[in-house]
Amino acid sequence: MALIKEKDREKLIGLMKAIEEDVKIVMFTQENECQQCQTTRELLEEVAALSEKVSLEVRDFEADAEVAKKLGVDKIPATLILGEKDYGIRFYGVPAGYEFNVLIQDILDVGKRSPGLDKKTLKVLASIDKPVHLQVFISPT
Amino acid sequence: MANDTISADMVSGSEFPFLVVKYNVSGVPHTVVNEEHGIVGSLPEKEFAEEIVKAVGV
Repeated sequence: MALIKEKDREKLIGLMKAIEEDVKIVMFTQENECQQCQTTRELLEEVAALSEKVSLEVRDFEADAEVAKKLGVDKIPATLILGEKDYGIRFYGVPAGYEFNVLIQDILDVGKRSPGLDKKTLKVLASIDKPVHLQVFISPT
Repeated sequence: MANDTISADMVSGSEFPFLVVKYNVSGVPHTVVNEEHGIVGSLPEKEFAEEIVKAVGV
């Protein structure tokens, strides 16, 4: 059964028409898929089917351990939203519920190659010249 | 996306309880900056950016 409702699917297809550049979703799961990994993979397969500009690459956390390490992925399920480069955007856990909106927004932002932030915010962020790793904890969904 | 030195993870607390314990997360959203600083709650984006700057001490 589809995880994305038909009504939502149509709306999402419309939203994704705004995507200009290719978006690559990389997901890490494992051979013996945990429930959350399976749900995440199925959800992402449905998301990738919404737009020709969005592709999905499913990786095995153990078999592709070197790739995971290179991308800084240390737990699964992991979802990465990439453009022609890695913007450092990661989701750990199932991006469902409210987080699904965030996932879609991130895909749209990467697709437009623009973070969609206010000029003033961008100015503040531009002043940072050290590595910053943010981990935003969100509620169970 | 705004700055290449910044990376951002969304972490579902229910799926990674050991991290909730590790970073002493008691409510959400809770943002951990560079493993040590916590920003609790949600803020308007500019204030949030300023908190990040403050946390890393640029």
